[in-house]
Amino acid sequence: MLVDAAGREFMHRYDERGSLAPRDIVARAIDAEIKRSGRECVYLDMTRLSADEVKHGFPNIYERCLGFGIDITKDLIPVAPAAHYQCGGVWTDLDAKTTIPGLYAAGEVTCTGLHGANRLASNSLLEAVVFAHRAAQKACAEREPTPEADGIPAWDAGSATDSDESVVVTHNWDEIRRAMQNYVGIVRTDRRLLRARSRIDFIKKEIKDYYWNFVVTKDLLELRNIAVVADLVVTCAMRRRESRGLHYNADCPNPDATQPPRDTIVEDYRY
Amino acid sequence: MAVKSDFLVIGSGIAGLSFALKAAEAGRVTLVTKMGPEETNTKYAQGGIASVFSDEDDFELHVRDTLEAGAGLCHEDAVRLVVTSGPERVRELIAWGVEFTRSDNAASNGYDLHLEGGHSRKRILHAADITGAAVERAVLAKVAAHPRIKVFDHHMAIDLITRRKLERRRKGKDRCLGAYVYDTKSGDVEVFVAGATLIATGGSGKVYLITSNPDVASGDGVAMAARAGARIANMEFMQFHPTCLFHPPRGKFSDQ
Repeated sequence: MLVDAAGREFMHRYDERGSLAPRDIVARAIDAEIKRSGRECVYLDMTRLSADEVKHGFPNIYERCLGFGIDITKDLIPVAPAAHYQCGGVWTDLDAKTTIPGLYAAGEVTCTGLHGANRLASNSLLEAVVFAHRAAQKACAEREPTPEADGIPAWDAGSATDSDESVVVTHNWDEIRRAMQNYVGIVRTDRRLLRARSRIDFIKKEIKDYYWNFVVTKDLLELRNIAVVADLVVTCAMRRRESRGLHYNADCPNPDATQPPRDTIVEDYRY
Repeated sequence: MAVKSDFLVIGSGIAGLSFALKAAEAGRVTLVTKMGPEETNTKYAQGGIASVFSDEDDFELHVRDTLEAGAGLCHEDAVRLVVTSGPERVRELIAWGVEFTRSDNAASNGYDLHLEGGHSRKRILHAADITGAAVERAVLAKVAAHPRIKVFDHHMAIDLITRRKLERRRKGKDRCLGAYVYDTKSGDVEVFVAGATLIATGGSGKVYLITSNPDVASGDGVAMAARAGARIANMEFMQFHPTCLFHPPRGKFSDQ
């Protein structure tokens, strides 16, 4: 049973079926409860079962939680929505070609048209091997000579110096992830998306300065990448004026029936 | 010194590895991966791989289930392609040494098929509950042993190198020539050139504070492709696990 920090059941406040409501309704209720309370998680309560029932019925969960110091026969289990799978991505055709000649993409990074607005469980490994195969066939059939490296400038580190303050990277990294978790999670609203938008725009500017002034590190490169991805998620979420599949916006809670479903396309991204 | 090859692969999950094995039949392959090669989203896939393997199942049912989940936005041609190619690709994984859990059920052709949410038939091949790790291990072993594939671990692609970027223009003919690659151990950045480049960097769970993904999933491929001007689609559709075990971050970049 799902409970709040005080151990009170909360699902019945959202749906008369309680914890047995459909999965997407439960997910939205958890999101709402976390936002209402300002805490980072809700709890699963298994303490109403006997210790024997728990240990025999859920041996893996029991062991795993014990490893984190949680005895689920006595303690509440903290749970929260976790980002799991990216259904959109780099657009490809059926041969895994992107819109840039010579560039292919396959696997979770892509948007091939297979998943649409929500992924069917266990279709992702299949998609990865099918499109990797298609890409290999095409790339071998249309094989291009290896380009000469002479005309390509070496990496320009410019006047970059070692940063003496890595805290900027840590701070921005944390701020992007928190903004996305709080404002662009399971339930979105126009206001939440605008909040995320303004924060990410500001961080993008800061990263731009930082990026050209300091010697690159893996943390900095990853920060620069998650800023772009966050920007793309918010851009796509703001453009979709309906709720469909995994995208739920409380300000337009239904699918748009006035026009055929369409993909959200970003061409010519500027960063 | 630039690193030259016929094919450049960025990422060492199942997409990158299986592409590398196939492309290596035709030429030299360079594969870059930012941690050790086994640290990928593939490895953490716990479910399995969906494919029509049972006599009680058929392609139309798998297509229908996929379209239903996709809420009107799937491209039916892509769905049909993936579903109908499924059994052949799964048999290839088996030939490469992936050991899916067997059963003596003749109707499912000797494999133990799971039923998962949204599927109307049993069709999930799995290796106990560690399918991703089993797939990753078997295919990585083949890649590591292949004489025409060179793996650069602890190497992170920074940006793609394209004609348009070299010539500082936003329009006109374009082509991807390779990537700038950062050696995370030495700190050097090198030019990698190739006739064809594959992005197979996986997902982007680390864009969120709480994620089931490993630390490497920072959306590098989407970000690189977007900066190079490639078309990006449907990024609003991020799938969440609503009830993931929550434990506070243990280190600044580690909170799986």
